[in-house]
Amino acid sequence: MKKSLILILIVSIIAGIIVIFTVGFNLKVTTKAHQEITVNIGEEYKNNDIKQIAKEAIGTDVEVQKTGDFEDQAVISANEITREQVTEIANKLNEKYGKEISADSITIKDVPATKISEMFLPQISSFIIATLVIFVYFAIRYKKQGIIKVLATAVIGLGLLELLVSSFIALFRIPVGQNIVSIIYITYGIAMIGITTMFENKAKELKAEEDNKKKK
Amino acid sequence: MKKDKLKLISLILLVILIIMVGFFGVYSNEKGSMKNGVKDYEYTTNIKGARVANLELSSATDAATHENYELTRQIIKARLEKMGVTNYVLRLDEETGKIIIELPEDDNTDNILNVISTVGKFEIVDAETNEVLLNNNDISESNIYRNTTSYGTEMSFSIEFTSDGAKKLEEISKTYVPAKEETTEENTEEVTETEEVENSEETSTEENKEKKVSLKLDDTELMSTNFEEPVTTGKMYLTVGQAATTTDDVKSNYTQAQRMATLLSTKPLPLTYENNSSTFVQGALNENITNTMLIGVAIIVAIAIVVLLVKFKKQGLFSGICFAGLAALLLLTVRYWNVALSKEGIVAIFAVLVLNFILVYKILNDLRKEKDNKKEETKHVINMAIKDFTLKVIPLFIFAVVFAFGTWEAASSFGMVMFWGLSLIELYNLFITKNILK
Repeated sequence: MKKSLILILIVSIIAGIIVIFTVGFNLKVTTKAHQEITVNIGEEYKNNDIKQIAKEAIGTDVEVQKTGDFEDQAVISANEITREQVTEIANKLNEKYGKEISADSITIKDVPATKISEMFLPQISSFIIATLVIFVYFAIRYKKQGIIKVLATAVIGLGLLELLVSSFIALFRIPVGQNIVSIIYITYGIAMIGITTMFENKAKELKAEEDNKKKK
Repeated sequence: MKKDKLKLISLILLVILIIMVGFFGVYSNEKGSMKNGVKDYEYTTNIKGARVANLELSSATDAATHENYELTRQIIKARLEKMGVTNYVLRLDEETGKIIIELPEDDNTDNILNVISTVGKFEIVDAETNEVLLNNNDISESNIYRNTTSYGTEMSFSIEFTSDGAKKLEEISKTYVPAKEETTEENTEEVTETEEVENSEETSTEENKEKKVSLKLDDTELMSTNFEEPVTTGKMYLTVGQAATTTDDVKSNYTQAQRMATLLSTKPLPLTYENNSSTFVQGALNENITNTMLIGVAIIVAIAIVVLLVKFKKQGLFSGICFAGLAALLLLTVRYWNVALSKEGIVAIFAVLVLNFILVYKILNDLRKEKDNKKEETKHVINMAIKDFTLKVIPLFIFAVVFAFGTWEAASSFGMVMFWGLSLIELYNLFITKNILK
């Protein structure tokens, strides 16, 4: 059971790495270069209603955001938006809200991509500092377990878990945008707690052994 | 025994009170309508929304090349960094040079947009001949200075020159000096290197002998001046406006000084951009975010209570109530400690609740084991469980503290919530849960 689980994890990591380097991550619509339209609905609306209409017309991953002084305009973002789709959206909105929105008044705007590296750059220094401080703590607290062994375990454990999560994100085509930051943090937290628990258990074992020796 | 019961009831009532306030608030009648007296949640840009500005090339020129588009992007980034803006999204269309920037919405947003779309060509020229004496290439950096005197707060900015620039400035300051001839009565106010041209009323009887320099930004004259003594430090200090006595005036002067310091610290844009539109766009998650978050927390609390109740019966129920109390206390803490919640911060709230569930479950499990063996007292078991938990989350605590001090607001929000969450888990379980369970 344990061996088959390890095998599955290794295969997942390898497959994930191959996907990352060949196909790449599936970027979220607002992260990559996309198109957007701004529709003046002229009254309060629910994002989900507009999203539903946009999905019916465009049929792909869409995002809806409110704008305008009275929050009565919607920015609809999608990979690609055609004039026909704009007409369909306008017709559906007119039908739902009883408006007379003209498709001709809606402009399709090209929105360039964001740089993924820039998105994650501001937090790299925090990650490095936090990891270094944690490793120093590990080295001091668990020095009896061997500093090099402890640090190597921590690096490998942390690296493997982040790699595994990245592989799953790539394999399951989870849209990558700023949303992925939370997953990285949680993975990091789980890895750290897991590694610490392992070291703590080992420390308890060592202490028990020492106590036994003293008793003898 | 009676005293213990009273203590238990008091603690449970306290926890229920925290739950009521944290989840539902405190309502009072204000001008005919019910208003929640508990502070509202604050959200970061990735939830609240951002100002989205479209910068487009003002006209097609030969300079519109990929290299210059990229250079423009780098300069805009440097300007944002200089102004302390870290939470932004910058998009460059590499084909057309169009730039779309998303900035946090606050009082300074318009100023920031103005600064990043200004070319920023700075020159010190001969006032008569227009010969360029110094320009951006001679400047190494510029900083803002504040000086409070009895007249009010003065805001100024420095222009710090490169070594070559400093030599040129020294020469200029020896050449462009006030006229030594007698002047008329109107010429009482000598122009110093820090005075603005609109304030100076200098007229010279022998204008030919007085040499002046003009300071220009994007070909617009900022001021005209000369030097009373040679400048050997390689630095010039220019005051913005007059000493301000009101907050608005100080802010206005600061904005101007910040604009100049930023433009002078960075290269001029190789292309001229126009800010075509700038609108506030809400985050995709903004709608009903508070309700969604509270529903998420309520679901976790409900699951925890059910699991604890089924598994540990009476003690499980008490622990479940305590668990709900901690969730409510965390929600109150983030509000009153002004923690702006990002998506990551909300995830941290859920993570803290999961961690607390693990601890409470362990406490109850250990109590059950110890009770069977009758070895140790409840209090000691709980203390040991909390100690064990603490040792395991120390790395997470370090992570939270480092991220709380980060400049990126989404990460900082995660760090702050995690820091408060972990602290609350420790203290709350030590003082509340332990006393209810023992």
